Amino acid sequence: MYDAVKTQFRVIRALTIHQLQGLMKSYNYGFAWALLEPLMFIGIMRLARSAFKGLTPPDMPPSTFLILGIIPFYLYNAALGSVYKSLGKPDSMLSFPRITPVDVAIATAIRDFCIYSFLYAVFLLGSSIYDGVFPPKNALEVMFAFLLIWTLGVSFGLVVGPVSRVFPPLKQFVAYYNLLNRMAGGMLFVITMFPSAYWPYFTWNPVLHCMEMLREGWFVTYTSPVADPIYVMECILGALLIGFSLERYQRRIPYV
Amino acid sequence: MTIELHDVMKKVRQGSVRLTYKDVNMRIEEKSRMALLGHSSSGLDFIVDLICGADAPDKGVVRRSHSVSWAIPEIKYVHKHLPLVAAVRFIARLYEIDEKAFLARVLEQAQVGEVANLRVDRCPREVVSRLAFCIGTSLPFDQYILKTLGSKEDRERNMETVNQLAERAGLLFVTSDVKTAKQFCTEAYVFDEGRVTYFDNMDAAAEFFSKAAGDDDVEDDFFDAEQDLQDLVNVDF
Repeated sequence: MYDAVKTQFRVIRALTIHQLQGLMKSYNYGFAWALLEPLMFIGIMRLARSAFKGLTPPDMPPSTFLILGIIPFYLYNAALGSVYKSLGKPDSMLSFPRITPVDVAIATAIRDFCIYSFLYAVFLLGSSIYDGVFPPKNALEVMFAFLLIWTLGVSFGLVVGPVSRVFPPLKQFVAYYNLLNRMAGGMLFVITMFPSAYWPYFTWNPVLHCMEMLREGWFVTYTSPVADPIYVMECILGALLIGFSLERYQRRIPYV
Repeated sequence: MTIELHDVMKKVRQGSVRLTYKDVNMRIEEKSRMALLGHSSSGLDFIVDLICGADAPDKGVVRRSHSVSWAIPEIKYVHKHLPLVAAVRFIARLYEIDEKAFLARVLEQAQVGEVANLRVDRCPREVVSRLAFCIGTSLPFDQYILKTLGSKEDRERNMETVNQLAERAGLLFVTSDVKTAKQFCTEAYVFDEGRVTYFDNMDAAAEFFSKAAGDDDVEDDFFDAEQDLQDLVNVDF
């Protein structure tokens, strides 16, 4: 058992490195992507800042506020998408008998985590120093919330992936869910911007709890009235249980 | 130690090829020299996917009790924007073996020299194929799945390698090239239009395979008979 787990870790490590190396394949100049992508992102963020200046809370600087929400949200989407695609479609790596779809899914999710955590650290550090809101109130809470939102994406991907293997149109529903999450997931707002009567319509969403924890952990001026890490962990555990069970069952079913 | 397919059903849907293998029962013993003979329209790749565990059967059970290679010389895992050595390192990491020793062994066997440090998309295709062959055959499996023996220049050397492998491990030769299969294999399964037929004699398998062949396959046989002719036709003008 121990040997099998050790082997799986090594397989995932090999796959993750392979996936990270594959990131630059569409760029003729290799690592140029590492410079170009953040530069483009900075441009978009500058535009977003001017567009949303009046819409962000007055006691939280807009750039840091947006970066705190947008990058983790994109991480969540990327983790969910890459896990469900890895489980839902046959991957060329599966021709290696020792690689399973779960290995590919976890490796792609780790790849996304590496990319977004690097971007998060770079942009958040720069922006918060510029805005004068550095250091964070509770760096551990921010890191924990960042890890939670990634795990949440992975666990939901594990649920959606096996289902999409037998029902490919599910990807359309995932797109709708992402759109809903974009609006209601707290990427661009904090819950205190709404009257408390509306809070129950938002707090069912575990993504919102992660976003609240991120803002609460960073800004001294903000304490979330709804952030509940236990609720997020319950959602993750439930989704992982369902996801791994479905994946185990779906292994016996051919790809559509 | 065997690979077994019990009452397997597999639907093959590949472009215009639409056929179904029903009640497939196969048993590949340890150290057996087995040929899986089938033309491109026989959906043999789907059966190989089942053996490798890349896909599941529509019905039935596939059991593997010994280690199996991937279909050598598969190159889908090779990143084209990276040097050839990156592919060797990936396999070393995947199979938990010492990277340096494995790299040295593969490069020595493949004799690709400095080309190994070039981007894959700038390497000659034969070199990539030769390296992919050497990567697969340098690992210790119980059963090797082979699809081709490479280009004309590499053929003799690769045949020697395969003969060495056959002394300690099993061979599963997946091909439509009966002539080469007869050199290595002692038994065969012939895949044709959704039927799988077992032969414990390669001559009988070759005869059955030729009879089952359509017009396209006559052309294949023509080329198989004369390797030089095939090479002549493949020349880039």
